[in-house]
Amino acid sequence: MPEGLASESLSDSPPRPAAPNHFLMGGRLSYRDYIDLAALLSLEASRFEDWPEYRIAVVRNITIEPLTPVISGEVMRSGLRPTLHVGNFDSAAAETLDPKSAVYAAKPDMVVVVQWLETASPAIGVRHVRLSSEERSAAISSALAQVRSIVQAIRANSNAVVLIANAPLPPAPTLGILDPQLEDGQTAAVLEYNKGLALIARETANAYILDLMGLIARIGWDSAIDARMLAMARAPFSQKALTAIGEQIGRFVRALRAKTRKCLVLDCDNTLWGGVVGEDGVAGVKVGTAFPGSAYREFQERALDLAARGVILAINSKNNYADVIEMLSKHDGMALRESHFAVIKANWNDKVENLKAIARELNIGVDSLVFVDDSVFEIENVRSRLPEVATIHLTGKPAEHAVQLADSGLFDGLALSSEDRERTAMYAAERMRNDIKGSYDNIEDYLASLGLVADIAMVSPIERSRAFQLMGKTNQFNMTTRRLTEGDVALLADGDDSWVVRLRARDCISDLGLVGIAILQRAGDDIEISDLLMSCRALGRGVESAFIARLTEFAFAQGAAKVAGLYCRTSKNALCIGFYEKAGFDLVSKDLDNERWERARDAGASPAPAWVKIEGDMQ
Amino acid sequence: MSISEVDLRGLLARTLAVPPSEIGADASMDTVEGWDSLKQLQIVLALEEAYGVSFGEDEALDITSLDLIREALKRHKVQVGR
Repeated sequence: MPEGLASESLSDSPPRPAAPNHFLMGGRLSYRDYIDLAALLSLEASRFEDWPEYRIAVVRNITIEPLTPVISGEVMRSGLRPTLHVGNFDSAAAETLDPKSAVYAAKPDMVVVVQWLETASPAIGVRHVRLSSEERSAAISSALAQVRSIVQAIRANSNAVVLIANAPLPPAPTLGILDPQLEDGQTAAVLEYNKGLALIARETANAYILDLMGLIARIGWDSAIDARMLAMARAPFSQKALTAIGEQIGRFVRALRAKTRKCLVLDCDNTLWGGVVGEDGVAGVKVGTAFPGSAYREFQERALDLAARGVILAINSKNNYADVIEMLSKHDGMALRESHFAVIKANWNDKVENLKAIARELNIGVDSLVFVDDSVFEIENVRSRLPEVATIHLTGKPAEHAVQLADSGLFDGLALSSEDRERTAMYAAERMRNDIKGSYDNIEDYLASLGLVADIAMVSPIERSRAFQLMGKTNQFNMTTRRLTEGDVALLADGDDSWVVRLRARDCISDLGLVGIAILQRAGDDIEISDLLMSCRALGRGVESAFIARLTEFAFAQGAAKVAGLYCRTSKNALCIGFYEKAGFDLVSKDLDNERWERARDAGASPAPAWVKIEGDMQ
Repeated sequence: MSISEVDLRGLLARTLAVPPSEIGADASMDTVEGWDSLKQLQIVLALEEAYGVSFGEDEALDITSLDLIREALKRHKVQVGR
C-alpha cells in the first residue's frame, strides 16, 4: 500500500489522513500498489467523494485494460478522483469521428490515443523490408494521416487534452544489423513516424506526446514488452512498462492541473558536495570532475537545467554562512555559483523556519517549494511539520542522486516561455533593485526613478501559453482563482463579448515580461472582470493600479454602464483584499466567500499612479 | 517459497475490487462478478509481480479459479499454506 493511503478494509494498519501531497512523495509504486489504489477507490468510494473528478478516456488498438488501475492510481496521487472510459478495441477513428460516441459522452478531461504501430500500420511494423521506397513513404504518411484525423476529431469535438502515444523502436529491425544506418531502414521509418507525431502534437492545441519510445528504451524492450501477453491477448506491456506509462500520464495530469512547483531548495553537505564543509574544509569536500565528486557535480548540473527552465534556486543548510559562500565563490569543482541562488539560508536555524522564510522572501507559497536533503531527519522534520513542501530524500548512492532529481516530475511544465528561461536573471535584478531602494527617502521617489512601464494589450495568440501558465500558477494575487484550460482561454480571447488582456511590465533595470492577466466579459449592460491576477514579482510598484485604471477605461469605452470586479476568497489570496476598494469600486454584494464590487460610468476610470507610464494597444 | 491463503485471496479481491469475503474457496470466473477475461490479465500480472513467478502461455489465461491458481503457483514452487 502506498504511503499515505491506508485502507480500513484492506489492511490492518490504522488509517492515515488522505493528503494528496503525501502520495506524491511516496516515490515509485509497484503494479500491485496501483491495484490496491484502484480497489480502494471502488470499495471505499465515500472517502473520495469530495475530491475533484478527473475523467480520462483511452482510445486504442491494443488491450489497454491492464493499464487502467495504474492510470486511476496516478490520478489519485494527484489528489483527484478518476473516472475512466476505455473505447472499443481498435475503434479509435470511428469513435473519435462520431460526435455522439461514448468517448465524448464520457466528457473526458483527457483523451489518450494509443495506436500500436504494428497494428495501425502493418506495412511499417511488420512487412517493412518487403516495401519499395514509394510504398514505404506512403505507409508512413498514411499512418500519420490516421493519427492526425483522430487527433483533429478529438480537438473538434472536445476541449480534452490529447496524449498521443508514439512508437517504440523495433527490437529486431527488419534489415538486421545494418538497419539503423539505412535511409530506408525500419528504425528510420519509426523515427520518421514519431517525428511526424511530434509535429501533430505541436500543431494541435492542448496535445502532447506520451513518449512510449523513451519509456520503453529506458526499461529495455525485453523487460517492457510481454511477448506472451502481446501474442495471446494483444496486451503488450509488462508490469514495469505499465507503471512507467501510467506514471508519465500522471505527470501530465499534475502539470495540466498546474501543480507545478516553483522553487528548488537545496541542502549543502552531502547534497551539493560530498562531505561536511565545516569539518573537512573547502579543500576537503568532494565535488568536481573526479569520482566521487563527479556525482555531486552531475547533481548540480541537473539543478542548473531546472534553473534554465525557470525554477528558482535556494539554499537551506546547517552551516556557517561564510563556508557556503566560500564554496560557491571559490571551489573550482562547483557548477552552482552564488548568482544562481535567489535566497541563501546557511545558518543553524530549524530548516522548517528557513523554508518559511525562503517562501516569504520570494513572495511564493510554501507549497511551491521542493526541498532536497540527504538527511532522513531533516526530510521527516519537513514532511511532518510543513507537509505542503514537496521533499526529495536523496537515498542510495550519490551517483543516483542526479537522476532522482531529474525524475521527480515535480517541476514538469507544459510550456516553456521566454520568461521561464530568464527567471534566474530577473531575480538577480530584483536584488539590485532592493539595493537602489536604500538610496531614496520615500517610496514614490524611488518608484519614479525606476521608469516603470505598464504595457497593456489584448493577449496575442503566441502569448496564450504564457497566459495560461500564469493563470495556473498564480495563487496570492488572484481575484477569483479560476483554473481555466488553455482551450477556455482561447475561446474567451476569440469571443466578441469577452476580452483576455495581458499586462507586461518593465523598468530601467529589467523587463519583467508578461506578469498580469485580466478577463473581461460583457454581462448585460455591464462588463465584468471575471479574472484578474498578477505575478507577485510585479506587485507593490503601482503597476496593478495602472492595470485596473486601463481596464476600467477600456470597459467604459466599450459602452459599459458599470464595471464589476469579482473577488472569491481562497486560503491563499488574502493579498487581494481591498484591491477593488482602493480602485474606487463599491461593494454591492457579499456572500460567504464571494464579493462583487462595482464602479459606475460617471465615476470614470480608476485612478492611475503618476509614476507608471501606460502604453499598449487594446484593439 | 510459501504464501498464505489469506494473502492470495486478498490479492484476488483487490484486483477484482470486491470485499475479501467474496473470494470463497470455490471462487472462479464463473462465481465472482467482474472476473472476466480482461480482469484475468490484471490478475496474472499482479500474481506474477507479487510472487515472482512467470506463467506460461498455456497457463496465463486458463487459471481462472482459486483452485487452478493454487495449482499453477505450486508448479512454480510457490506453496499456498492454509
